[in-house]
Amino acid sequence: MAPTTTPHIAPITGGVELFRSCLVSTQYPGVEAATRWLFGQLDVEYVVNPDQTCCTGLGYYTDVVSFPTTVAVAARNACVAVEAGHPVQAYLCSTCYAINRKAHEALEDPEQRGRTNRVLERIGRRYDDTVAGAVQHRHVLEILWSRHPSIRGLVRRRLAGVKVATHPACHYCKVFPDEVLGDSEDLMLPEDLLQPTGVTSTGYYPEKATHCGAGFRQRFINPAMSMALTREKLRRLAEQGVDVCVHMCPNCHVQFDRFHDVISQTAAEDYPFVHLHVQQLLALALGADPDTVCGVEAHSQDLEPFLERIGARERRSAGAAAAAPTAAGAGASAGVEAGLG
Amino acid sequence: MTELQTREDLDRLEGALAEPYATIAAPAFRAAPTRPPELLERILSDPRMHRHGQGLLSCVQCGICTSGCPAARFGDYSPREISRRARDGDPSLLEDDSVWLCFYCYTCQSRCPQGNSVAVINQIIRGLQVESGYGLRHVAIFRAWTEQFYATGLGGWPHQLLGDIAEVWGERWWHLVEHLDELRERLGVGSAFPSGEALGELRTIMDATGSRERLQAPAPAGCDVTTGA
Repeated sequence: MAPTTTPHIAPITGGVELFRSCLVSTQYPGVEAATRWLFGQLDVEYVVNPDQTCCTGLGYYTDVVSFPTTVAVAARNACVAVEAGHPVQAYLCSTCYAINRKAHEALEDPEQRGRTNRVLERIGRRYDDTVAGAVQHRHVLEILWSRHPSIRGLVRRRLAGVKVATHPACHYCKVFPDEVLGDSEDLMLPEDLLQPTGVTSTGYYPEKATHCGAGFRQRFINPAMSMALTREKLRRLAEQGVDVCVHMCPNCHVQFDRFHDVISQTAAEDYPFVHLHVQQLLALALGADPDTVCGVEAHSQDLEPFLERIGARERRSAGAAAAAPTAAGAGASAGVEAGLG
Repeated sequence: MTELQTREDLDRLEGALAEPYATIAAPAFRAAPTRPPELLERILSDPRMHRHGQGLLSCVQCGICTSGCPAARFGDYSPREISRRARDGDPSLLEDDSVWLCFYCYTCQSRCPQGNSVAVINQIIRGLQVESGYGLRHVAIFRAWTEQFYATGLGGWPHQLLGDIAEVWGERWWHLVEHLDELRERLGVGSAFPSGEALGELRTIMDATGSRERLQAPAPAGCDVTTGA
């Protein structure tokens, strides 16, 4: 088994607040459910706080929300998390992560903090040194990684022969590159988390760090530019012969899952792989139900052949029934090819 | 360089050299660009630029930002140019449409050897354009986001965009939109919306920071809100 390269970190404790994301909530709620399920499996004590509001990310990055509004919302959410005794904000979305870290940085500036506190006064809150010192900003994958030694013993469906590539989220890797767990140009955190499940990983591949193409406004306003980028990335992933591209940001996930078949048909190119969130694939490997935990029905791609292949579904066809790829070698069986090709 | 060929050329050169240096060089000094410093100061004083101000001032125009930029690759946009003009405080940026092509992927920032961030500069420039009214054409289609957020406390995409998306993403996706609550219930993830108390506090923050007034000025006449042209 290949050694992992992601730096080891001590278990992140002290009260985790699973920070709800607007895109996870409305597009792939199974990502949140799978994360909660994994937290349960790995004994991560956490809360979901109904007093937390959305981070403003999509409004801010489509330029309708000003930075002072965004900072005030982030400061309020930090106050709420600290007050509830769960100050480790764990983000499902890389834009929530980047926005809140950026706000945290801005609030170190006394002038900005003063202006923000004049706003917070109206709701009876104050962002002070106690709040700033207590609140933490973590991607959910970091929380899981801090418990990774426990994963091996929990695997129920081995993913042997499944080849996985990471699409590293820009807002995790590039906004605060020095804070990244690992190399911001060649993030291995998702692949290393999945390593105990028996997957094969691509490691670095050409254009691994290239953006997904969503670009907030660009997906809607400049679709030609947006799609050209997504297509390029899909071609690169297909060259690697991957079975799954794993994601760590719902906006990237939307871009790839929702447009995968559209681009494939329009460009007349085959991209024979599926998209899943890291937490969904990890939960599946640990035995989670694809429907009631991973919420796969929310995906645009047909995931059934892949779920059959990893033994998360009863086999439906004779072709697929011929192989037990979880026990076989790397994508070698006809059943695997029939199922995924 | 032109070669000196004739006696006449040499005479002219000697004549020129007899002039004081400042007189000869005067046209060059007159031609030097004079930029009002306001825009550069505005950019540098923005809290988002605190970590990147020195980087902007020390930009050496190496172009690593442009080499990795997806908008430069697939669109008519150059972060290197934006950096140069920002450093010069070039006020034409305040009516520049190319800044709206940035993906906000931060590749320019993460690779810049000087610590500059064109992604952040673009956020500042776009904000100034919105606040002056010029940029409203570019955000017209997203204005509804603010109203939706104010009403529900949940972000996502403006509902006005969903009809067009549904045509591309198809029935399967539309089915999700229509049955989202049932799916969330099966998954046991509870309400997607914040508590009533949180929503009240959010609205107070939005009112206090002028987030709705910001978008009230009418977009300039004749603009195409779909293409932003």
